Amino acid sequence: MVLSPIFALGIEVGFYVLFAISLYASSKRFGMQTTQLLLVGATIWTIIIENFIVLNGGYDYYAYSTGSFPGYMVWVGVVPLWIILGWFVMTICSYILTDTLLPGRSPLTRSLMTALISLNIDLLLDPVAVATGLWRWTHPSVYLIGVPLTNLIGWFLIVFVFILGFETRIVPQIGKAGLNPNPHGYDWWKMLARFLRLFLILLPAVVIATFVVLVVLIPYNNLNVESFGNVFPAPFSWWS
Amino acid sequence: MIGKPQTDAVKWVSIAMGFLLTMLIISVVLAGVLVGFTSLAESMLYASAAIAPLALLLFLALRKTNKATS
Repeated sequence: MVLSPIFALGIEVGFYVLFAISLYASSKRFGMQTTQLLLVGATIWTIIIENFIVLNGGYDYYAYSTGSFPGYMVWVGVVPLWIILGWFVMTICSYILTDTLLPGRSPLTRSLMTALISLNIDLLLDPVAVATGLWRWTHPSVYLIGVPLTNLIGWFLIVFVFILGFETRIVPQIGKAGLNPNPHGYDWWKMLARFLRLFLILLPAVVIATFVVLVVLIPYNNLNVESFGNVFPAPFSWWS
Repeated sequence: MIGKPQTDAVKWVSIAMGFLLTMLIISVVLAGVLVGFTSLAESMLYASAAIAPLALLLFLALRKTNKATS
């Protein structure tokens, strides 16, 4: 159900406020240098993944678009900016909670916990988004309360892989002190380059894993195929 | 060891999550009913159950940081 356009704009503004609060919380815990590293890393990570999936017909953000207005104020490619920043909000809040509840645990445990907390947030966020048209799922899958299982698995994987990469490849380089609010200065650009090189390996892995899950679930699709109308083509026109 | 910065961070995370959950609950009310449910009451029941684990973790984190700094 599509509500008033004011609702969509209100949610967009609300997420910018959330982003500001989360950025402040992260700077308190990790300091500005590491917060900026996480922000830039998470932003690049999600811009690529989100745009890739929308362009391949997985879902879209056009329920509130009209002839003259695209529905949301700021876009990055075919994805609203608040969605990109929303990923940072979910990830950083989950990571700070994990860091508080499970200090000194292995990167695997901490990544798992962070991804589970993010997934928990999505258990309410996604059904609300589907019910109000903030985004529309447009691919065949097993749907639970309007949300495809592909999304729940993908949500978990994206956060898990991102935090695992950060904890195993970046934290050892900047040192545990790098996660302090006032870390000894480290070469930020070198760390960012290291982060981005990591993405070159992890991004294809996440895309392939999501693709495999998608293919496995297609035969069990429980929604009407006619509803899968996306302005962008599905890969190989499988379902569009 | 938990210091003041971590306590402050957890407080701000709680504010952020409280703000987000309030936005989502208002959205459920505006939508009237979530997909797969038959009434607003059912939808609200689901919403409450869905956010319960997160609320519990926030409570535990706040308690831990408050204990450590008091």
